[in-house]
Amino acid sequence: MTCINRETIQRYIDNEVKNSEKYIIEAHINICNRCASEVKRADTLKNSINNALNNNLNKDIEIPDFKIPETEVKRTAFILKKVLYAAAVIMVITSLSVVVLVNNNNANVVIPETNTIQNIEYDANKSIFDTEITVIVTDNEGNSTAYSIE
Amino acid sequence: MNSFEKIYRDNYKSTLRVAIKIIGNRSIAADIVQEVFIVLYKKLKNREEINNYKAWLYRLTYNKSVDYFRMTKNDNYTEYNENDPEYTDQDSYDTETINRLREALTKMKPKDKLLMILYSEGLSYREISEVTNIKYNSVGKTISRTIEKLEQELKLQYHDLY
Repeated sequence: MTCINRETIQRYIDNEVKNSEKYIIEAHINICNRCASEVKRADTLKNSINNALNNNLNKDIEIPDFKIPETEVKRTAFILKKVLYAAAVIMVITSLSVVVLVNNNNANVVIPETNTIQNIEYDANKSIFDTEITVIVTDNEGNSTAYSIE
Repeated sequence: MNSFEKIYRDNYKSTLRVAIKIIGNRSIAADIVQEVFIVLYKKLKNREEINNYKAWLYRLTYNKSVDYFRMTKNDNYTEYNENDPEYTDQDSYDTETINRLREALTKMKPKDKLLMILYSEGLSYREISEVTNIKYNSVGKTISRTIEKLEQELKLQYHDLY
């Protein structure tokens, strides 16, 4: 096998090679001092980079409570205000409608019924022209009045 | 918004770490991360779809950091200050090598540096591909070339010193 290129060494030390490739690389490293030292050098450099960037970074990192942005709070309050106004308007309109409906219903009830014709007395043996008809009308208060129709 | 709370708790630390690595200043990085999560909050509230939260958070953190540098007209990007407690070494790791690497990292192009930062976060090639839009099959090659550039910079520094 020819020597391993830099990219493959990189993938090897980063554990990003397939198992089949890994066996071939390791078999080569065992017989090639040059590639073995290249792998060692790449690994050391990787650790140095990690140390240079990571040193002490985890110290004292605490997760602060997330503060909801003020604009969002204001926006929510604004929307809530709008919803409340809308609800108030709907309630007023609904109340007014109920009052009008009730008034209309009451108006129907209040309208006095016209006096009813309670009884018509006539003699069936007489010609209609000779018959005297008496109509008794009873008003809402129960007062009856008799009218004669000639 | 329960899902937001979970995403926030699961990703805050790693996002802040990436921001600190890009910016080099914890307080500014925290402000940027806060902005990033506000954008996420609004997106989730508007029911916008995000496929990979982690990749999305890292991308936006990087973009916002670049915006910050543009705004402050600072083209040096991360300025690792040796006296900054954020970057003060407490172990006996080869301090000189680490300092030289940090110096070399400040001289890298922002996208190369982002790649190194994601690499140092232990992201898989698949995840790096999602954040950077580098094709998955090319991630190994790109990392290898970027590290090569870093080595070149280290060699230059060495020649300057000695």
